[in-house]
Amino acid sequence: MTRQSRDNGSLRWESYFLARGDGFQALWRELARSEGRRVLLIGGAGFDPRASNAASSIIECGVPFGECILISSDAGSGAASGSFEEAANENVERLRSLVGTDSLSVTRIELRTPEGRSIGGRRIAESFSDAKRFMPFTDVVVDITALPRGLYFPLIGTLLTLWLSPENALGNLHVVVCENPGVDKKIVDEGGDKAEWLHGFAGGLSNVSSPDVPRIWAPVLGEGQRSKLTKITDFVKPKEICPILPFPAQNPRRCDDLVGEYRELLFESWEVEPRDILFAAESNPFDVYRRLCHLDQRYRSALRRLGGAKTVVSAHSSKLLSLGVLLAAFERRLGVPHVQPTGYMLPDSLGDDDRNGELFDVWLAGEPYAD
Amino acid sequence: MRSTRNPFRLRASEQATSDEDFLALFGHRALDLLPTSELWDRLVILAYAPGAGKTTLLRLFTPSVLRILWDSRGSRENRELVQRLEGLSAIGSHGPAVLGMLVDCREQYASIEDMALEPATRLRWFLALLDARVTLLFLRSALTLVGGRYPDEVGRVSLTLTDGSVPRVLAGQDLYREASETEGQISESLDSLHGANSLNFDGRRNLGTLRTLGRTDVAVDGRSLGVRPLVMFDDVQALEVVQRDLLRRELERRDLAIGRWLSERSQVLSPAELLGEARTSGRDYILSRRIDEWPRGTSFEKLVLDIADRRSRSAEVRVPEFSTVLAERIGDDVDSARLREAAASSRRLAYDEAGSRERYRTWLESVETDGLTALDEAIRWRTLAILIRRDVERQQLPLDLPLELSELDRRDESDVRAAAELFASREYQLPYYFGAHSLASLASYNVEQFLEFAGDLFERFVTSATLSMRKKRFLTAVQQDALFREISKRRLANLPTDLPHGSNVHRLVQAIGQLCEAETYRPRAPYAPGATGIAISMQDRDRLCEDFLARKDSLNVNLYNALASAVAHNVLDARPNVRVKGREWLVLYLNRGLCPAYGLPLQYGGFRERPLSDLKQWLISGFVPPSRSSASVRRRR
Repeated sequence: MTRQSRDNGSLRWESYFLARGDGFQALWRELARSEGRRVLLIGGAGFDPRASNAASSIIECGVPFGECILISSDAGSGAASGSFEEAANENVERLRSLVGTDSLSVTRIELRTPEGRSIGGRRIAESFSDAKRFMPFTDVVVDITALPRGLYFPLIGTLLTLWLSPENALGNLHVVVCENPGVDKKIVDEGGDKAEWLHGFAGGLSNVSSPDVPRIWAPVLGEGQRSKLTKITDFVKPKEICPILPFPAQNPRRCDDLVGEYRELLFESWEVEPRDILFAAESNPFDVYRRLCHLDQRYRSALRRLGGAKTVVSAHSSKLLSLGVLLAAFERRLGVPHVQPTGYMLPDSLGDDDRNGELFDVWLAGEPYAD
Repeated sequence: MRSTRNPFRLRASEQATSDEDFLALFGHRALDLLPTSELWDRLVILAYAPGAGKTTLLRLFTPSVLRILWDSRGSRENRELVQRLEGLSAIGSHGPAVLGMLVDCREQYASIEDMALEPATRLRWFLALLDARVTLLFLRSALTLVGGRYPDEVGRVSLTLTDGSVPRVLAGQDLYREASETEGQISESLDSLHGANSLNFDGRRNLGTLRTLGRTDVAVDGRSLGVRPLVMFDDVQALEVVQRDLLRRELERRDLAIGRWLSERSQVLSPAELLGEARTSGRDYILSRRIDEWPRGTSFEKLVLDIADRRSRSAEVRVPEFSTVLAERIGDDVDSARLREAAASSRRLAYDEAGSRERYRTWLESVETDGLTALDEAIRWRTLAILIRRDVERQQLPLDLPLELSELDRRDESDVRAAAELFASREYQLPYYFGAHSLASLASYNVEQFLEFAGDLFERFVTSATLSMRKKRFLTAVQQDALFREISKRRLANLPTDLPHGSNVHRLVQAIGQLCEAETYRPRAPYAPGATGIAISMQDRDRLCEDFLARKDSLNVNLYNALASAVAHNVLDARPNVRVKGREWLVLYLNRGLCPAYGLPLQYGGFRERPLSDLKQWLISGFVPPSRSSASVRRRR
């Protein structure tokens, strides 16, 4: 079965379900009321101090986990890697104490081969591609808080493919994340070698058989991403660039700060016209999703007579916003380039306060969408 | 070309700049990198560091660019380039003479090795995908050359096989259908989120299209194009080793009758390259390796200054010749009192070094009577101070007889004077990094790097030109020096986030930089004009690669990864098999763009041999300067 893009102008998630903060707890308390709820949690066995917040909150709301699968991957070889391993082990133990030893398993998925080739996306898609695995559960919750982008994009893409396939009668699919922009800033990516398409999200852009049409690139901007943005520019070779800035945002000056940080890149290297800059709400991935879908639709329509256009989208901001990029790319078969970092750095070490954050539940399939 | 505020920020090869703009910005001297003979008969390998300009060079030979160039051949700007290409037989009397096809090897091929298939099948899939894409690129290029639409008009293209007794015609439509099916199936499998591969497909056993293209006549609408096919494989280092080896074997076949070029990032630290078969250079392929091995009569400096002139001419604040923006001498921006003090202080230092010895009286007197400018005097005295210090430290005989002036002349080499200039700049806060030659050197044979430095300079120039009321506008030596040091420190600070394994690369580079700084500024300047790199023995290099493959310990793996990343991204300039004192060394020079961060000279030459254990220690705890009895050169108040 091949994934077809929706090109009829309607959006799959035109109406959506998003719960945040107190609404997150309210949702899960409500879900706890129904009998026989059986939940599978898929999360990251990473060093992020927020890694167990979502699981902990769901359990507190009265919903036990039937099974918990944690994905562990390499956090890199930098000086901080020793403390990463320690922090990751602590998170696993915390989750183990919440979920119970018998219900928790850790699956190792390498992000790259010894030769440096990105392989994590393919491996995680292979690991979770069997629909039967999810049939015993009423709810599957993917916690992306401690998962790298190179893994959760293909993972969620694979799950959506299964969920949206009519022959699979699967339950609810949630993606949850604990957001804290302050902590995001403290975790700094090391450089990556090259840009490449995220597994499952090449969007047919590698194909030479397609017409050589203009590429429109819409990066969702965040801080400190200059090196990656440059590499992606070289890889994608866009004809036009429509950057997306997070607004409204918790920090009302965030847009101005981003424009200041990327001034030279935006207006001298990329020659972006101010009218081509788009805005999407920092705390609603569906806003980004809509804007990207409409952007793609608009360019395809406008340039149809000249052969069309191909839209490329990329996520350089928070994980919450990256979900919007993922959904748009999945629905419209857009290309998503990515630079996989070789590790992470913590210029300022993480403290107890960094465990905090706001919880979001992005409900993608199941009961709210039943026709 | 349209005017922009800072045209140095545009990157013509990689971005989707128009072909016209690309030609306006293209520096002709890059063609000097191509061999002048056998360009079309044998595999040509272009092996450079990233940013050296190889993709730009390849883009020149694509049909859309050649077509525009041919159409504008009469224009003053393009005449020289057309003549160069005529000399290479890339342009003929009737138009473009080559049909260039640019294959991007970054697209998907390597991931075939991750498919759950037998190894031999994976290689056949690789050949099938590559072959299909070469076919499709051929069709696209043929249509582009005549202004046709791809893929709608592939039916206009045909190939006539000429090697049999009966010519056989291959229709473009059929070629397109078969190739696009193959590509689509493999590409869909590679990008599938459905888990295990379900495609039943055996692949190909060779690159049949390459062989076909060499034996055919290409026609559009029944009219022969009269062109020679040229397949250019870009970024071949992105392929897996087995794929790369297979591709090279295919391309080295002497029975291929098409042009085939292969561009790749030079890899001195690849274990696979190290442990692979020995290559017979010159027999099966021509290797054009390093930008710093430029042919006689040309230079990287001329190339980049030509590029700079093209860009500055297209700026909103138009500058016909970029080098005029840069002062070439220390001028009024340095207080003459400071220069006089520098001269006086250097003189005192020379006399201090000499002490009461008669041995140096003649030398000292000769400088007293030289009648130089204050700056030249400062450097002259500083040179003398170094030479005296060297002599004092070497001196064993008790006789205190004056040395002859001829002895001074013999020892007064340009390297020592260069060291003196460096020392004086540090001691008296004089500008050191300025002028067009410094700018070209700072680029470290990398066009992208040059554009970064020149772009910042131009930005500063435009700002000051806008604000300044003076007629003569240029950046002074002091301004250039400050800016180059700032850029250098910024590049150093960005290493962790710019490079793979960046935090370890940064640690290594810091250690190397600090070591070189300590060695350079020793008062006797033993490595004049300075040490700008380290060296590990070739045996250590081999051991490092072998241990990496064996995954012996994490420190080894980290060191290998950091070194490989630094070399691959031009942060360290690797020169293998340098023979010193009967042994062979892998010299690792700092990228010239990082030298100002440590106050190092821009010339190549001095390096310090180091055991591998030192490098491992640097990763753990950084560089620890050795305690020496003689203090390093410091700033003087």
